Amino acid sequence: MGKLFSRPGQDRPKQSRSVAMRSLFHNFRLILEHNTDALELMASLERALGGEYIFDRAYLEKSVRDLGLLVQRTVYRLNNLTGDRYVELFDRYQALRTLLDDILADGPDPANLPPVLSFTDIGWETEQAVGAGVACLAELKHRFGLPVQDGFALTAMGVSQLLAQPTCPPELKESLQREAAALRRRCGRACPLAVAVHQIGADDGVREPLALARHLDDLPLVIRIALERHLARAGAGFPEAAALSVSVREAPEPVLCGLVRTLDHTASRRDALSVSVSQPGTPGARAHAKDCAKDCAATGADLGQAAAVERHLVRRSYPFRALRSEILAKPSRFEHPDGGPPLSLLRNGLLRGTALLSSKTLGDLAEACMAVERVLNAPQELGWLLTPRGRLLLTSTRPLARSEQDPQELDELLAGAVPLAHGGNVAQAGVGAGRVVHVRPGDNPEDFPLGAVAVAHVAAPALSPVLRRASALVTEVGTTVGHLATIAREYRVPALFGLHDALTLLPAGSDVTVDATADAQGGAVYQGVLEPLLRLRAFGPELDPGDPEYAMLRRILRLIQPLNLIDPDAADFTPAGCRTFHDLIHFAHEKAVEELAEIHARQPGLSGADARRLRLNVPMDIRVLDIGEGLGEGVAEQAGREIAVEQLECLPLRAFLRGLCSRDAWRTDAASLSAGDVLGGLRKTFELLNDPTGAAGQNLAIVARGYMNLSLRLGYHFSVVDAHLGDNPNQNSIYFRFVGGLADEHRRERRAKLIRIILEGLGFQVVVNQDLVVGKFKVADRPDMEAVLARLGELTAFTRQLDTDLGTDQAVASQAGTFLGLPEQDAASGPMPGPGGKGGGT
Amino acid sequence: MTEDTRPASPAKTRILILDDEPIVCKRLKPAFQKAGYEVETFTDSASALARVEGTRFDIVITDLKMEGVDGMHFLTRVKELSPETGVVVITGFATLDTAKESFRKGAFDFVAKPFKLSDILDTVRRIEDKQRLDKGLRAG
Repeated sequence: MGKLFSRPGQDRPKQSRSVAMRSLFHNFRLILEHNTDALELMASLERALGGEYIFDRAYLEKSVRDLGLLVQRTVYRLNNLTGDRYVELFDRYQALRTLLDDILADGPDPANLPPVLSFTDIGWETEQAVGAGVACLAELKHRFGLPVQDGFALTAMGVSQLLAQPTCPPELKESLQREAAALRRRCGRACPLAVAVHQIGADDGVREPLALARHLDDLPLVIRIALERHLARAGAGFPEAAALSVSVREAPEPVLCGLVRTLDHTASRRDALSVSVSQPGTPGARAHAKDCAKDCAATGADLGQAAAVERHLVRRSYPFRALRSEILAKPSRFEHPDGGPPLSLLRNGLLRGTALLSSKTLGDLAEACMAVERVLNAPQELGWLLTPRGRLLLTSTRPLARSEQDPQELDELLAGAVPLAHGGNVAQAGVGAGRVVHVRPGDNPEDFPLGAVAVAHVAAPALSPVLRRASALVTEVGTTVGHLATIAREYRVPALFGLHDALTLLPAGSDVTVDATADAQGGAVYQGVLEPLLRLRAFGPELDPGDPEYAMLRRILRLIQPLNLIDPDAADFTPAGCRTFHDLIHFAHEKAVEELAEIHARQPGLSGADARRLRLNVPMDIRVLDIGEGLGEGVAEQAGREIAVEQLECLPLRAFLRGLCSRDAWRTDAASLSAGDVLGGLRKTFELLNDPTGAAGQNLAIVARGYMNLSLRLGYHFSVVDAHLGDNPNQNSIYFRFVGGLADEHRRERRAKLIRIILEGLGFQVVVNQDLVVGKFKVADRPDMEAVLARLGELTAFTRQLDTDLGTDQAVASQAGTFLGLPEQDAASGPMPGPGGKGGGT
Repeated sequence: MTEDTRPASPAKTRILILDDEPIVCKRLKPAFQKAGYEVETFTDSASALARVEGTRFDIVITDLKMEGVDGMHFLTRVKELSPETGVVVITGFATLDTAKESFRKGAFDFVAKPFKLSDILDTVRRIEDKQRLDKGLRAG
């Protein structure tokens, strides 16, 4: 960079301009560096959730401190760059930093949560406000989509407010009734609501409901009564400083209820899941129901002996077949609660049978309970009920005691196991087993069988929906810091990425056990479903959701990781709109780029000598602004305003231009326009002509050796490609934005859809908002990055006037297929990743 | 503190883990047990010190920065009592100086947190290899 500004013999004004430019670019480069370092640190924090790393609180404190420093410096540099135009960012930074420090100090919930929280707003990170039991139910319900009772909670702060006064404060009453009304809209108008009290920090599994509310007006009073009952029961033993929360959950009348133990050896030495079933209101069921409703003290040891209780032992892996069933004798005309007599014919051609629980519902129940075990990383005892409409609901969960593990048993088991594949990197630790299903481009994620093992070529974001259904995921290509790895950690699905030749070694339809344990280098896949391995390895040294460090990490990440500001043209793309550290650095990056892109308009004194015109063999005018080693040695000093592509040292721009200048990408035929297209385009033309920055029609590439920020106006499209490219795959990234177009609204939306399909096919994570498309591609090695950048270059040319051709949805599929080289039906269904040289990372 | 109640087997390598952060002990203990080691964990250095005064461990894994007796002092004492014990220092505050000092005092390896479970298991296996080699040399 120094070379650009060290030309001898310049006059004084030029020298001062040079100093100003040097300062400008210095600030810009530091923003980029801080941005990269901050993203690395954020990825490392997020990776810690996966269970492969041992970390402690000191690590979390240090990470927040280091990250805070990087964000603060980024904000400082942006203000240096822009003449203090974004001072407000310091306030946002400080506010977030204070909240993070509060979390690290174990302070009260820093997010200043409202006193009443819907389950949709509750997660592990709000555990301090509502208790672990409630947080657990809410997570299972809304994050993992499991059939758990819906509800809402009165936080510890809310309980204090309620108990502080003889009557419920009006605002609190209103909040309670609003949430209750919303809950009833979700689960039925007449549904009774069960009120339970939880002691935060104690062994606060989900408690026996202390009261039922049928009318919304009564709810505050019912909650108060439940709290008073709880305190009266606890008596003098209730610690003064202890905080209470209250859960209010849907409580439909059950036709069947019972308990599930996900690992039960009481009836058999074989690993099995046990299910007890009773019919409320029948003899013997009352005692059983009491057991089911009892809080965590319920042992369930006598379930099989109760008069009206049926019991099943079920396999712990898909398809969860019953191993043994104890079914009660019933009268011949017995009507099952789920409909039909025992001899009724089912759709599968079998008879219904006499068991209270049908085999399908039994399988669904076992599957849901095993998902809970996987999420909570320990065998569980769960309460459940079945509603008259056949809806299955889990009502409580608590961990069962873990049995001591015998290392010898594991050694013996592994010695007899048949390995099918070894290697890969652990994205989420754990063990999963099931039938192998190959996931191919064009597959519909909804068709993926529940509990199967997904095997795919690329760990692309498009696989995310599959993770909600898979028991494990294996890919041939992909890294543990990509988007899909984050999703695997979110759902706690064991995931191995980068397992060479997995599609060949793991044939579709075979039963396998995926061993992605944290204490081994890489993973392994064994032939068959090794149930003891599931038990022995699944509850090892991985991080539990119950560990305080896990909850703390989740709470920290909530204020660090999410990127809420995506669209720079949105009204909330402001300093005040920054809700996380990620928002802050992204905002700073965008504004820094904008400052350089519009340098001529914003800092007229600095315009002129710096941007050089690039000589191209295609009809485009691109100017290049070098901020450090983006041009070959001596090029900056050469006379003349034009430079050749060969004189560029900027790796990402060279790769992009390879695609952009490819002859095949440029069309010569005329695009068809409708009257609507022309009218729609007139408005845009007018806007462009009135662009106050004067940048309309300018294509500017800000370049360094490993960095490019390219702003393009091509026809009526406006796109930005921001790319980091070097030898460290973890620091490589591409950000692509595309907006605008001369066509009516429908065609522009089709064009957005087309670009989404193409970008996802290349391995991008994509967000579409009307005709704005934002794609991100991260963590790939240099050849993959160069290949993807070249494809983006082709795409830029390809879509030059494409929206005027997109008259039908069929045209979208056809064009996507043409570009990606896919069969049409695959392109139409979109987002499954395609193998082979078209993007390797996520 | 937690203790393994099973009878000691002379064939098993004995490991002591000292870290004042319970989460580290909680996660390392089952990992080493599963790998076939006999493990004792401590979260306060005074108790760990009392334990090593009376019992010899093959391998010690210790944090550096702790209340009371710090990791460097603990390392020194372990090596005084049993020079052949392999010591791994784990720390969230890794600097070149502390690493140098640890090695000077006889640490086998110095591992910065966060670390992968598989990495520390590898380190322990390398200590075992070295101890076997040393034993062979002494015998030979």
